[in-house]
Amino acid sequence: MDLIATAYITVIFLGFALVLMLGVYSLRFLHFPGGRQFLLYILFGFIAIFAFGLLSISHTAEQAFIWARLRFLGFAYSSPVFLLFVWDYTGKKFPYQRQLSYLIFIIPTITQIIIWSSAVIPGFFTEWSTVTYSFLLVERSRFGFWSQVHLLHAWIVLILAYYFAIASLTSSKGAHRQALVGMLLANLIATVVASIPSVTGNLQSLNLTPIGITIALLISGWVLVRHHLFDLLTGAAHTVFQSLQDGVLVLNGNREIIQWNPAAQTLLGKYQTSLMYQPVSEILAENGILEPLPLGAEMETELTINRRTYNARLSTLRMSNGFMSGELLVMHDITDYRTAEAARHESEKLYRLLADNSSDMIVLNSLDGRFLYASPSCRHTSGYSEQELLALNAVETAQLVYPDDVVASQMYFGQIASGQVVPPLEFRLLRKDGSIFWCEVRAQPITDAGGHLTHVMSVFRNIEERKRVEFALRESNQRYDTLVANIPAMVFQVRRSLQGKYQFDFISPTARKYIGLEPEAVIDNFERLFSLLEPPVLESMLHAQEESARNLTQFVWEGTGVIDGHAVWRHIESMPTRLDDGTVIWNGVMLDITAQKQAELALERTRKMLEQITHMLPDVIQVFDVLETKPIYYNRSIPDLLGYEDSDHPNVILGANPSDILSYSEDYAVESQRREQYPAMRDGEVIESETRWRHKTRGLVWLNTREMVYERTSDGRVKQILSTVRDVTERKVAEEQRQKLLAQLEAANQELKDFAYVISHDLRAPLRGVSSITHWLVTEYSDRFDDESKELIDLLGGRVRRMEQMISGVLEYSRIGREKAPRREVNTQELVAQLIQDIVPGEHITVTVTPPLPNLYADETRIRQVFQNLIDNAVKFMDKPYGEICISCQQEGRMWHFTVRDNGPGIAAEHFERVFQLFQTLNPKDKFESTGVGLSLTKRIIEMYSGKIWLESVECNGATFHFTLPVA
Amino acid sequence: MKSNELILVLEDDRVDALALTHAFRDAGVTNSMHICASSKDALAYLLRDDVPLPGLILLDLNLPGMSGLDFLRHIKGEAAWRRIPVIVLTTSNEERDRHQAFDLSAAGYIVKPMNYDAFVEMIKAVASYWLLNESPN
Repeated sequence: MDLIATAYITVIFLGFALVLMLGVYSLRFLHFPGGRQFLLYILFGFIAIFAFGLLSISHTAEQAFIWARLRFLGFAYSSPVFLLFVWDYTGKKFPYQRQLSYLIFIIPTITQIIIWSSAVIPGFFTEWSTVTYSFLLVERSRFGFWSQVHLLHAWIVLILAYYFAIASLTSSKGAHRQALVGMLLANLIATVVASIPSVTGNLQSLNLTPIGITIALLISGWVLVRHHLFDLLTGAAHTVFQSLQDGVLVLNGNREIIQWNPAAQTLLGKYQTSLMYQPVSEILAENGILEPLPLGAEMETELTINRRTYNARLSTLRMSNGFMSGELLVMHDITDYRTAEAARHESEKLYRLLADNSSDMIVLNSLDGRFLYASPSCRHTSGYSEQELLALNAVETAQLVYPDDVVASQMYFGQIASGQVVPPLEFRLLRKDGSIFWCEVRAQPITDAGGHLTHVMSVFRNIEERKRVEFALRESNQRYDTLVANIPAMVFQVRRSLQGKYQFDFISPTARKYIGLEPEAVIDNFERLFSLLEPPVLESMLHAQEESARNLTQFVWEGTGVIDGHAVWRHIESMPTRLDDGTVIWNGVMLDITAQKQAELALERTRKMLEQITHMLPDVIQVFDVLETKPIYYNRSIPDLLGYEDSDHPNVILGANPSDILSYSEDYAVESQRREQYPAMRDGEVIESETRWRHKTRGLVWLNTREMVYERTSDGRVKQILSTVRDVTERKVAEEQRQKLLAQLEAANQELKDFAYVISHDLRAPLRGVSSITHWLVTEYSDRFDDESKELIDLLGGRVRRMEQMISGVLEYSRIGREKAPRREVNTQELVAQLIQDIVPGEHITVTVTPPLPNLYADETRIRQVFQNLIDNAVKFMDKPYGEICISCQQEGRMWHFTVRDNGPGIAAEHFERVFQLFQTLNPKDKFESTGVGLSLTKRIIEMYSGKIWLESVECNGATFHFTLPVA
Repeated sequence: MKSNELILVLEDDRVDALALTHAFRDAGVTNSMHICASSKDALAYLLRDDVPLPGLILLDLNLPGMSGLDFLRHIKGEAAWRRIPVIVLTTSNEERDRHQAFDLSAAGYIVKPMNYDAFVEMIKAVASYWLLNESPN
């Protein structure tokens, strides 16, 4: 029994402690929907458990009775508070809710009055006493009429709570639904347990009610924690809601205000009045009717409340726990903004008026370059209408700028956009018709409140007229400067004061060239000029200047001076003006006429020289006008050339009619023919003729005439003929003689050829006869000759052979140049190699060929003869134990230069010419079989090919033969 | 047989004619020879009826009166004599003469050597050439 009592009291106090902790924990949810009601609910539950606990440990019955009655404070109010919680938590609103919420507290309050008055017995308890149960005090009671009323009321309220809760369960979401179900279950347990004693009517043992309540409260707490009964976000939202500057109204389905924040209260001016359940249409009466919105829709409108303007956003609402839908009205005060906007609008209107009426083009551009506004003056200036400008895209806008200025304008607007302060830009734009006009632009960046660039406003001023004037002025100045700097003259202004002092006002930069001094050097020092002039020249110039000053006549002066050591000629012309104070000012130019003067002098010299030369010439030089048939110029006449007086033959002029001193009639024809050629003559063409004339003393003479066109008429006809006439009699005679000699020579040459031919037949035949007879004598009559006779016959044979060789040589020699063998390519390298093989020089002689030897274009037989003769000779006359013959060649321009060098006996210098002559030998004929033909043959061959041959030698020390042959 | 045929020689130089005779003998050629000192004699000889036509004519170009080349032209112009081979035997080494001789259908052109031994060699060559031309029938 003690154990049960101890467990009982322990459970009660444990529940008491847990419920206390739960109460503290739920304090944080105070501002959540249902938070305050939940706390009250826990408080009343706590009071009940607390009272039970104290009742059980009371010492006296009186003491226990107080706790027994206090217990009903908790019981009586917990049900209505639970109903309030459900209402608040689920957000359920219905008519007369407020009245009902008062009503449900009437019965519990009467219960309290009864319980704490003397009517408690038998009104509430018909009988109340205590008994002890172990160490606990246990009440023994019977319940009266009001106790039944109280219980009935509690159940009715509870059922109501169930009704509302279950009604909203359908629209609530997962966690909330579970939490609510948990709460209802806990409450049901608590109420059933608490009802048991009342239903049974008496109570005689341990009361289990506090344990039931404890369990119910603990279930509620667990649900609270487990299912996040109170949503943190909702709490936060609530805080925000309370502190918002904008007025917020929450409307229920009847469009009554069920929640609001302080700001809403303030702006509606209802500081004192509660807004709860006030229809929103009344509150906002002055703004007409707000149409209800379908679920999920939003609407924005402007409201005027207490003379202030609000932007009102109305949206349908589904609360975060999902239980119900209503509407949310958020009102943002835009009165100040509206006022400012109105002011800005006014000011915009003003500026727009200004812009629209400005003669400057005023435009507003977006950042991508498009036009947002263009003042009407744009049409006048650019040709584009406002609409056309606004329709342009960014690229087209850029094309309005003259291509050369695109970069400059982009730079300018770039600087403007980056916030730099830059001076106005002058640049060119293109009109609609393609013409160009100059503008001065001042642009201004336009930024939003945050300082971000949004637009650029630009004012374009047409500065065409200004530019035109500017350009004209600049061009005029430039023209003048360019003129002054570049004309081949020095431009100056000179001033003469009354006192006769000269001074330059201006002197062009060309002074350096014309007076050899920098302009700065003379501008203040006129006298420096004087040093350039010889005293008499200077005097003449100053005299002329004074004269000009006196009479105001043009000053013209030409003279010579010395600049930088060179004599120069200068020409000055200037015009004087007299100022009011008597000063005279000349504006003028100085020209360099040195070249002209020198040319004049040179021309004069040349003219004189030519005159003298032509007078000294024995020839006639004349210019004859063929159209007018008269001489323009001649140095002497043809009669003069022929020894007559001019007056003897006044009509004898070349180009005119032939005269009787022209010799033969056939020469008349030549003369006439020549005249007929004139019209067809080309420039530079020279026609030449030679005719015979009768000289006064020398008989017939030949005159050579050469003529060419000297001048033509403007239409290209030959007008004047320049001709020279020369006495060529001597040449003519010489020519005739030469022709005669040539013919003789030809004949002689032919004879010579014939002679050589004759030799071959006529001389060789008897020689051969001698040879044959000698042979027979030796072979057939040898037994009849003694030794001396035989030797004589041998000598005879030798002489016959030599003669035969000489004849062959002459023939060969004469044949060169007479017989034209065809030329073909000759490889001298191979040719010489072959020759050396054929000659067989002997073991003591080395022949060296330095390759490469070239290819020639010639008659191979002749070339072979050349090499053969030279190598043969070198081998034949070699007198050294070790003979060396070297053959080489190198190119020298258009010729190959061959050398054949040997280390043989050499040739004395006096024989250098002789060795090349026919039949000339340097050695006794009997010692070396030599006809003296070889080298002369070689020379002739080489000369036939336009080559040369010569030799170098030191006697006893070898010889070198050089010869040249043409390259291909 | 060609070895029986007559060789007609036109040669005005007596020594050369003698040398030819010797050379033929030394070369072992046994055909009979008739030597004429001029073209006129040779033509007269050819026209004779009592002697056979020669099988070969050796012709010197440098002849008195009608020149050797004219004689050659004449021979080649006569149908009866055209087929007789004519070998020109001359002192001239001129290209011009050589060409003319061959143009007139000479069978050969030989420059007379100065040396008698060479002369014999030359005759041997002529003889073998001539015999080679002997038809196999």
